[in-house]
Amino acid sequence: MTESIPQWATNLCDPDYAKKIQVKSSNSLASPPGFKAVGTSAKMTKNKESKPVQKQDLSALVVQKAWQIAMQPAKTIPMNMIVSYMSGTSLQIISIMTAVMFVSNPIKSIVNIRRTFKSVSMNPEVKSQVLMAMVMYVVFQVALMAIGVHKLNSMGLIPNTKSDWLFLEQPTAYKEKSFAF
Amino acid sequence: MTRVLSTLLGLAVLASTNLWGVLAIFDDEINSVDWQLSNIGKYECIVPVSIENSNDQLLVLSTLGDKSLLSWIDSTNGQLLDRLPLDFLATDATTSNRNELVLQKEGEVNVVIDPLNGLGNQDSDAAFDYQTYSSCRPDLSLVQSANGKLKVLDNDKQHVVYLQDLPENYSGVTYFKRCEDGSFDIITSTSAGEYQFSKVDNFEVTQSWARDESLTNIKAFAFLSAKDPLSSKIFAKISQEEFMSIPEAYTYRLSQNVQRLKNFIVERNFSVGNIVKDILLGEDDEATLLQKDINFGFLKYLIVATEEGRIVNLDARTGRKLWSFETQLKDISRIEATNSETEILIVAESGDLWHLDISAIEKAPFVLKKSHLPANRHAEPFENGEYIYLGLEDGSKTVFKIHKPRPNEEFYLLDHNETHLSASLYKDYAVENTWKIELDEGEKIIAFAKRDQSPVVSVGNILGNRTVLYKYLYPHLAAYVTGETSTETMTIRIIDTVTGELVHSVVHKDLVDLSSPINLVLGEHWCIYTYFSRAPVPEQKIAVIELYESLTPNERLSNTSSEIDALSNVLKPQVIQKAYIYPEIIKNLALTKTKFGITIRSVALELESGQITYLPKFILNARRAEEALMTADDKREFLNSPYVSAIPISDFTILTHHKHVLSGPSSELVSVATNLESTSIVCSLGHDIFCTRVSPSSQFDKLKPSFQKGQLISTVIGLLLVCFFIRPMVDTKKLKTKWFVKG
Repeated sequence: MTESIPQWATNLCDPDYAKKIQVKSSNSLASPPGFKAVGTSAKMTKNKESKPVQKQDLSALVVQKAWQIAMQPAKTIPMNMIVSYMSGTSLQIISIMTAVMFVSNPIKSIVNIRRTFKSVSMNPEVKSQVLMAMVMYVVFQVALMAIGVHKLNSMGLIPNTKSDWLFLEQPTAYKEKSFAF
Repeated sequence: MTRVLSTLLGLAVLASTNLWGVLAIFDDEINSVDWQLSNIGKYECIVPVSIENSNDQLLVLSTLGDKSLLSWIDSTNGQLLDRLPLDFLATDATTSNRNELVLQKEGEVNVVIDPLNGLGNQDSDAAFDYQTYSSCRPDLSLVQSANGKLKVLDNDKQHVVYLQDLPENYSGVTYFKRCEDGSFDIITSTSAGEYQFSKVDNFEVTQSWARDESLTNIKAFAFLSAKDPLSSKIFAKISQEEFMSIPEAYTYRLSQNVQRLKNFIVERNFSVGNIVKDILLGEDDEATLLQKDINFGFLKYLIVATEEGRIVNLDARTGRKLWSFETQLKDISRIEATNSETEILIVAESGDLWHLDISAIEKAPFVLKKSHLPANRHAEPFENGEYIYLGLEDGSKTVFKIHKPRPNEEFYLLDHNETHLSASLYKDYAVENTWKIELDEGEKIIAFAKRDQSPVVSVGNILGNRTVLYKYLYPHLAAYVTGETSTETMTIRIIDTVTGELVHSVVHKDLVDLSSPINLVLGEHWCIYTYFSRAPVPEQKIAVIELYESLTPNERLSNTSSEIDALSNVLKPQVIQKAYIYPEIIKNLALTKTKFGITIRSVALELESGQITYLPKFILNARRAEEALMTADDKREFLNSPYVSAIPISDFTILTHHKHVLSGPSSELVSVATNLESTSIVCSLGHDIFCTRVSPSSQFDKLKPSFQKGQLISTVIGLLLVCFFIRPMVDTKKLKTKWFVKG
């Protein structure tokens, strides 16, 4: 019992079918009833006219966006300062965790800086300005980290004093043996 | 970093001990970690407590130092009931008809005492009843001793009513009391200090007991550790690994461990139940407990020499006598373990030197060698008993080599007596005098201490602001206290034992009572001394001197890179000192010793009241300041507290509980380290022998008996089981999520 293969099945198996379909541009379609295309064409022409201007706007926007991203960590600085001040220098697991987070989060952010600035780094024209924003971003992250480091230091968790390395110091050895009775 | 470590350590300590309060040693610990040999001494006189009524107590007069001691003994079993030290020496005693004990005092009025309670009877008119006989010389007209037999005759001296073999070293009958009905009590003594009581009724011994007083006032002692065959076996195996390559050593150790596991299972007859039971409950049979004590180093042997020349081995955990050995040397001055604790040396003042083999320590020793040294004033073994320093009668000195000497050995030796210190250098098998300090007329050395040579853990003290104050850790130091009776002043001098240079000195002119005990210990970088002074108010004082390289924090002046010659040591310490007031007279002072010196150092104090307590060094700290003068940084310093002049006695640190240790005038307080870093054995050796264990920083390296091993293991096993079941479930869940299958 043979059955002829239906058309849709043939199409399904044909890898080039999708390319063969003729696509009609939506622009060529008639507008729905009641839809008035007022001034569309005029605007289009205007846009076309001021293309360099528009491009400049776009660049400005990108730069603005880049600076917004860069300023984000700066905004959290006062917040972090307050938090780190309020949590005190006592050695508790919570305050140690926050302090460690203050240090580790900026490092993570700096490592992921390309991803953070991906949305604005496509434009080669404003690359230098975006780069500037990126530098500032790093600076602010370092500032954030400094808060964390300061906190760790005030908690005494950074081995930067002589007492932290005292265990490596050896007493003086003397040659003689003496006995007193 | 250090803070994290110290916090973690603190948490661990806190978790394992609940709170500071567990430092205490409570009533239920009596006789579990401590023991006491309560001695009476040589029985001078024995009287029944009561003549009339049938009181089963005997009152014994003996000496404690240069005073007398009254002891009450239960005559039915020989148990010591009570002891009362008197403040005079009674030369004779008798009982009056009114049931009073009359004690004869040399050249003074007799003292009358009620034998029932030991209270002085002031208003007794019959001070001395001459009709009574002296209790110190019992009426022995009915007792005869001949041909190794002791005979007791009847009233007519016709018949022998009692016959007994004389004990070895029999020295006499110290007590004989005959009742109307013919029964009698008799106490015989031996020269070694053993007393045998017999109550004879109707020709038969109805009661008998013996007391051993030979361990009163021991002359010399030594501590020996028990050797652990198991750990030495493991040690031998590990040292074998040193000759192998790393993979070889690894497989070797693995195979050894598998072998041990196999043995463990075979020992338990392959029974899973047995294994689980052993793991959960642990074995608490005697063998395991003994093994534990050996591993922890609690099992020490205290070898003592008695006045009569007997060497006795005591188990330092319980005071049990393991063996005794007669040497007949009456003047033993030192016992020293040597040759990695397989031999002991016994040195006598007359010059006898005996080598005893004690490699099987629980068995009686045998003499390896007897040799003769010159008669000496004092003998000091040093360098693990390989050399003996002898101070001879004529003031000269010599060093005697026990084993083959190693070439080029050089020792600086410092000897002292009451009036002078003299140092010498032992070099090329000869002793050469180096320097000498003669004291002024009227001045006398009261106390002397050499620096404790325990390992140094940290070279500095960490302050609150995380800076370091470097300790003065020069090892060749000694300290001595001199007193001048005419001016009632006392001087403490710390000197360099190599050069004789004075490092520091302190003079006390506050009417020091030189007749009361003055003690001195010299620890790592500090010196603690105690004295009693009458100005401004009579008080017992404890003072501490701390030596630092520099009082400026973070300034290290000593050299670390090279080995230094002590003769060219130019570094002088800077000193801080403080004094404290203590509520009791301190009779003896000792430094607690631990294996690695990490545990907080403490001083054990023997008080005049017969109690033994201890004080951690951080209380006796010279850097404590009044609260008003303390900065925020000072307050942050670990274990630092404001200065308070009076140190109270903490009830929790009384090691003797309710017991009273009668140590006599020439007692010694010693401390020996165990294998557990937290624990140290403290013994008072004098008229009595008392030993206990101290852990000044709480027992941080030992699990408490209440540790819930079972719960812990069952939780771990439970979690493993849960994992075992949950894992496949999670795996299926993950697969289903991948395939967007619900459920």
